[in-house]
Amino acid sequence: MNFKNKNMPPAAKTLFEKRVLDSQKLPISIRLCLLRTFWNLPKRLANQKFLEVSEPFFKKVLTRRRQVYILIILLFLLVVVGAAGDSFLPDTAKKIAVNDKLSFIFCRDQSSAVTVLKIFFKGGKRAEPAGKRGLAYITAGLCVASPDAAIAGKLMHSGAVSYAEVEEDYVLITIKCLSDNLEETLKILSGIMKKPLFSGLRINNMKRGLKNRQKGETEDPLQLMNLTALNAFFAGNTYGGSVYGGAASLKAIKRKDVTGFYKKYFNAAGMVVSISSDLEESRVKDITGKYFSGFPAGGTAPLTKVEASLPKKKEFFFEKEKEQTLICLTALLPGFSPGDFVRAYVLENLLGKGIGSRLWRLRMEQKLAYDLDAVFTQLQDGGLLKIYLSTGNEKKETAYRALKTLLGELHEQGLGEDEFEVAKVHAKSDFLRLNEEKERRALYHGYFELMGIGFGFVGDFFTALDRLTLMEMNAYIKRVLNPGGLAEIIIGPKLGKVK
Amino acid sequence: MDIERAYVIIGLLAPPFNHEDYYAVDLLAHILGRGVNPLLNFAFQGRRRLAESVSTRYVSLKYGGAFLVYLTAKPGNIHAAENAAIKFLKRTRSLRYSKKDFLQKNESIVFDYLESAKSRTRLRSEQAGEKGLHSAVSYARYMLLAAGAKKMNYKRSIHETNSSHLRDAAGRYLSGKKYVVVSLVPHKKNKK
Repeated sequence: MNFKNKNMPPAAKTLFEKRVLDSQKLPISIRLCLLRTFWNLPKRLANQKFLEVSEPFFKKVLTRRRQVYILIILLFLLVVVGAAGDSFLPDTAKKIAVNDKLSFIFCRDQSSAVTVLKIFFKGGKRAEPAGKRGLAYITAGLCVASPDAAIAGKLMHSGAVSYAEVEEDYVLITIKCLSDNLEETLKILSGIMKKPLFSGLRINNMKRGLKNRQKGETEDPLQLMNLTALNAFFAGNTYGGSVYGGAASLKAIKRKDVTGFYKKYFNAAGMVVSISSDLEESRVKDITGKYFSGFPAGGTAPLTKVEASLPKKKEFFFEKEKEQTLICLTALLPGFSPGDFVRAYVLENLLGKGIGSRLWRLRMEQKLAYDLDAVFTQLQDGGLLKIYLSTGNEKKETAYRALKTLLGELHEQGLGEDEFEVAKVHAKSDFLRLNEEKERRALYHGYFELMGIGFGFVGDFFTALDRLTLMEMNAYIKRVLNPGGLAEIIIGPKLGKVK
Repeated sequence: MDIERAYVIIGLLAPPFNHEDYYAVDLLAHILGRGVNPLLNFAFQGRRRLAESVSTRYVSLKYGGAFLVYLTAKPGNIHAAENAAIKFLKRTRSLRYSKKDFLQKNESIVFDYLESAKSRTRLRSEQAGEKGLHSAVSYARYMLLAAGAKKMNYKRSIHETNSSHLRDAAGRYLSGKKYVVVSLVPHKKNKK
């Protein structure tokens, strides 16, 4: 293909030259392929006895001197591509202290004129008092909602995007804006975050929004699956239940609960700020210091440890009139540690990510499903691995049995050396692709920092992955995929018994 | 259907990829259904809160395009929400999208929907450049759809679009009588 197509817009040509022609900035996937090719080349040459010249023609052409030249060129290429390999994940992130109370993680990335901020507040769903599910969401939502039309107008003009999410261990506020508008955006949003308006009217509006989201959660099979999986292992403790609460819990939330929750958890002590921007470090430091220094110092509120347990009820069926049936097997994962994060990452890739994964066999060989995936969620005190597929209703029984067999075999037989190596390479490329975007990288920096292993784990991920041995991986599979500990979730029409 | 809420999708014909109205309609999609304060929300204001969520999408292909409006509503409000949305779409040909459409003394108290949409478009376009795969898809799409057409510069064309262009485009594509409506409603047992 002629890349320099005459139709290619000027911006594309610039980007093409910037990203593709500069060997140090080759797209990650291409760099990975190149590195693997060159890395394996000597082995391949040795296997093919390339240098043992016996044919007279080659003897003439490949003189010893030329062989040396070829070797030098190959070595040179290895060094060049190897250098590119070292910068596969050029993680230049660093922690910058603004003052003794505030510091932030900064990663300079000039791939776009955009700045992304991920602001984490420790606590999240697990910090909500009993019977007040939805409190974190209401509080976080009001921390980014404009209190009046004039402020909303300014935010609109800057084109900034801001939203709040509530996870089991933290609340996350995301701010994305054009870097030119960073100061204006932070001036507005930090003002709202530091002094949110918790009026009865606004709280009621948020509750109305949550009720709407609750409906979406029961309507969408994937959301229903996620909630059911969480409740199967964490029912009755602070990880369980919907982040949007329920009718009773929303009714129980009063204004004083919201202000109390805000005071307790939205402070500098529990805050982690991760920023990715094309702007210079000094500029970002000035702006961040100017607008985020005023957060109350606060104290770290203690959080009770969450104890996961194997579910008493292991089979969940939801009758839905759908064209397809969703079948999911969920496993409980151990609490957070760097090693377990890496192991879960490899297992997720091995099972459900792309061509060659174990689930792929159900699609390609047995034609049982089109949509299939494996997704893990790593929480501080546990985690979940969901392995699922959507299949035609007429195939659901076969697909269910095939999925169980597939996991049973993996649990029994474990992994072989080759498949393990392939899964590791897949995990690496998946991690690289995910971290190409500023938003995801800022998220991972903040997430690892909040989880207590430090933002630098983004850069150390490959090393940790390389250290992982087959024996460790098989022991992890044995522990996690124990058939007795899996929860089964089926969402679809009732066409006779599944088993 | 086996759903809890009702969904309405209103579809209108829109310009193809290489049409000069492409940029105006792209901006209209931002203004009407995205961002902090989508303009289409005004259609549902009032005590009845006819729609629970609103969004818009513009799909542009080589030989045609579609402008889609998505609404989520309580099953009982579905027809009222649909009517309110269509009524509002008819008004889009005469709305004032920019501060410049107002007297200077009033400029400070009105929303500049046009500038807001331009900023959001720029943000989106910058972000698309962060991921190699997204860029590749964009360029491949451009090379396929724009082959043989007059050269376009997306950023410059968006920058040069003004409020009159938006009203003209809205008059041509959003205010007419030709539209389709698809409604998805819950089974009676799910209706609340």
